[in-house]
Amino acid sequence: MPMFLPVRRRSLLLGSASLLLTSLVHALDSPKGKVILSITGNIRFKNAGDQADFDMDMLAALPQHSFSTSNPWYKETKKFTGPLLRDVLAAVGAQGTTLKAVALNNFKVEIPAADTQQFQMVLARLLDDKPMPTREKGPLFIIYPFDTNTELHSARYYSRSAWQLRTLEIQ
Amino acid sequence: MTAAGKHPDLRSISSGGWARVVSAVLIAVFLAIGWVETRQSKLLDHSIFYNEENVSWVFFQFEQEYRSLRDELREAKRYPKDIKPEALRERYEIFVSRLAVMQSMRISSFVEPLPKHAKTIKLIRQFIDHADAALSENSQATLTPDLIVQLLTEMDPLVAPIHDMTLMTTQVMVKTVSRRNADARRQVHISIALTIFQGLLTLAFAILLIRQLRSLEKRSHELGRATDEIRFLNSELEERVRQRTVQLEAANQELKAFSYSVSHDLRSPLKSIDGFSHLLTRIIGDKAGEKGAHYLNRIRDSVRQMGELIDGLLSLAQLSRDTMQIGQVDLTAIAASIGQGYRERDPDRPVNLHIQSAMLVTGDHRQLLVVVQNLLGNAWKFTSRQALAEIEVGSQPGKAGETVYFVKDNGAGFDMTYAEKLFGTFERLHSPSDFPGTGIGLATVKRVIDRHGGRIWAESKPNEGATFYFTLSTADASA
Repeated sequence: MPMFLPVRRRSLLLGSASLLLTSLVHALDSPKGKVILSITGNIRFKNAGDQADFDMDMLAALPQHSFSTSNPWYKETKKFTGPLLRDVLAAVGAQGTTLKAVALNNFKVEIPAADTQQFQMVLARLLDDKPMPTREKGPLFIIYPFDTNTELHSARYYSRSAWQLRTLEIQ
Repeated sequence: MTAAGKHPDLRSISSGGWARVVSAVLIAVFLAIGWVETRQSKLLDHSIFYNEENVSWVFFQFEQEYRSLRDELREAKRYPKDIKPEALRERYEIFVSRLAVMQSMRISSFVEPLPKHAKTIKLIRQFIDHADAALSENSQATLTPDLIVQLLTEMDPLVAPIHDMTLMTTQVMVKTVSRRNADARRQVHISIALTIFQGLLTLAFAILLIRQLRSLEKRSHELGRATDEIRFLNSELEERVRQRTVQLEAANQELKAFSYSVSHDLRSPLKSIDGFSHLLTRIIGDKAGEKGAHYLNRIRDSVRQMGELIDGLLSLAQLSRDTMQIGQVDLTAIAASIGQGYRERDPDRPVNLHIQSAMLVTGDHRQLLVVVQNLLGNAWKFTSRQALAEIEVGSQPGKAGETVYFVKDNGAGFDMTYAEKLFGTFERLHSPSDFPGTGIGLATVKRVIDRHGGRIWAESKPNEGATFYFTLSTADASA
């Protein structure tokens, strides 16, 4: 169980009404295993210098969400599991309007922060309940719930779905 | 339109017809524009759906990852002490993952048509099959400099085919995009042409409508003027009719007054003549002699005849003056009553009188009585020389479906040559010595029938009897 110290947290600028409420949350622990995600930029909770690092266990400790959806990368419907992107951002006290997602090969894409509130975006760590190797677009994949809204089945949202995610830069 | 004015065939089509033609073409153009725009939209949708533009980007990234991996292996070859197996293996996995993307669903249809790609991809797969043992995420193999050199030896020959694949794909993509752009441009040109054409048609339509409106306005104006003129002429005519009516009524009134006063004023001297001639007959008595007595009789006969004439004239004047009292009249009953009177006055005459039953008409009872009295009286009179008189009063359907009443006898008859004179005042076809009479009766009958809106005529031959026909149209008989 990763350690989070209770602190009083201020509202996330991105936020929904629930985030505006003050509540008890955990401060960020340090990763024990291999770092698979770094969050930089405008964040309040850090654990590695000026950034927040996550290993797989830390992400697995956040509330997990699953959905199955059709998508442009696989012929068949796939099940994606992981924490909500907004929960990950809340865990680091992110404040900004844009997320710059950087992939393992330095591929970059910008995601409006509002998307994380409008849609149940998942930072997927499991594909069909299995960890995703790098060869299969892992280890992390930002995924939109495409099948919940026809608007999402478009090039705009396909391109925002960053895979082989390594870093999130909050701007 | 000007063209319509110059061309004889086109001129025959009305401007309303032109408006219909233009509006039909307008609708066709609207449909064409809709079709072109839908097609344009589909062309764009197509590109979004298949995401074809990303293809060259994917191939570029694959080549990029290939080069990055090769660079890192070369780096490892150069500095064997600094080899970082984990980083090297991650780089390798990224490279392998790019191959899967290249062959993923949305671009496969684009890649497949290029046969050379299949060969290159086969070579890449062969390399991966070998390299996996050393570089895959789960490999436990030690990355020795020799192994690195071996991997580089296998990898180097791939550079040309991979670059070739990227270039070819880019070329295909550029061609596709150019073709699509050309298509879109053509569609845009068609769209612009159609829009211009539509604009011109709309203009033509508007001009036609304006022309029609103006023509309607002109016609309405002319119609208004004509109506005014007709109204003016009508009022003028009415005024003239009114004046004529007044003049006619005055003349009629004078005529009636004259006729009445003549008849009435003539009575006084006539009564004197009658009275004194009667006294003279009584005073002179037998002394007058045969000749004197004859003259006195002639005087008295003439006085009686003149009295009858005056009575007839008075009756005629009266009928013209009186207003009509319209009601149901039983012609059968009237004829029977009059016939009965004649029989009583002349009981020895053998007369067969046939009267049709139930002849009910609408009209003025008193005036129709005069009609039957005159017609039946004439029949009685003109059959007086027949051994057996045949008189018939009846009705029959006319040519126009109306009812025609008739009084028929087998009496003296008359020559049809003089038929026109029959109904004139004081006109007689027989001399008083043959048959007594005033010549006023039929004139009176005609006056009554006229006032009832009917017609009267007669058919006859000398010595073969006569038939008098009449109709009544009491619906109009209000004069």
